[in-house]
Amino acid sequence: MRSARLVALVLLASTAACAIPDPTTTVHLDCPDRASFAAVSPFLEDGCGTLYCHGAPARPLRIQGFSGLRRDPSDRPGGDPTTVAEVDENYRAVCGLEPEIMSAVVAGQSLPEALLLVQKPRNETHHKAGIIVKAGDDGDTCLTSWLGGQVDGKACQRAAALWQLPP
Amino acid sequence: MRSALLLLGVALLAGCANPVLDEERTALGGEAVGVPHGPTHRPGQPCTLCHAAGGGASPTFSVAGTLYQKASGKIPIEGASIDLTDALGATYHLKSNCVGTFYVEETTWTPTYPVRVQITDGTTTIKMLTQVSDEGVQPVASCSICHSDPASATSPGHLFLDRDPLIPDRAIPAQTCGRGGPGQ
Repeated sequence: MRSARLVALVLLASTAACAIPDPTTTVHLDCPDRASFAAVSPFLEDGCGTLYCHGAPARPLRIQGFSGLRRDPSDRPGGDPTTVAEVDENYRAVCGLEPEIMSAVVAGQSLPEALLLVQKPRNETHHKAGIIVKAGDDGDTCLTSWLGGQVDGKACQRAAALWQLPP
Repeated sequence: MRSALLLLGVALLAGCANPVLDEERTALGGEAVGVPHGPTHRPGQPCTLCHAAGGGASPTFSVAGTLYQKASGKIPIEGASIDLTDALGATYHLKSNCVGTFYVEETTWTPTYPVRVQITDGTTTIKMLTQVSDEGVQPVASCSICHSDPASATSPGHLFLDRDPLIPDRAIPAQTCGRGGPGQ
């Protein structure tokens, strides 16, 4: 009798685990503004979005742009400049990576450092590509200043330039 | 007991294989008829799928690729200089062979990533727009992992030197190339 109850309990738990999430459920997302993200995107495109890294279609935090993955099938890596639509996609990728934490950061309830977007390039959370930025350097400042609501455009420019070839 | 342990060992080893890489190697197909194993075999293929730790072929390469004349065709360039500069400023210079292939063995030079690439034949010089990053997983150092054909939104296509399609074709490497001729 006791084992029958146990089996019933396990079955119930298994059924609950198989429940299909409600497809109409939405997650509230606040993200720093899109306009100032235009300053951040070039750094992400050049520093993170190469074809074998975040420019690979299967990679989380998919980054698109001139030097990597292109949104329009007729565009080529290294072809036309990054489009507004690609910056939009990069914005969505960044904002949607950890929506709950991003919202908390924007609301001032959490520090930018709580986001993988900051931890990963610092390699504080294991990053396959290793250290891309160090805390306080231009790339890091570019990200954290944008997340803090006051993007440091010059830091973003310097950070992107590090990854671009000299003329 | 001993045979059970042996069986377990074999099973564990088999379990360590990477089925994705195995599938990619199989997809490359067999050797071209008449082309022996060596510096001219399998031009344009991702060398480090095999020539890397765990890839099964020796030697292992840190960087390898194949250079062609133009985007629109697959005539190789022989003797072009491929100049690599790593994150610490260390440089290494390679020459493409008669099938356009170039490589550096890991025991000779292992760069600190990211690496910048410039290619020249003395007349035309091109710089790679982005840097080669180490994603931490082999076989990243094969150019054709990213520079695969056909060109698309996810690939710039094979490596080529002449951006201008109106530049006349260069001399075609000797017919004997890859069959015991130059580059062997």
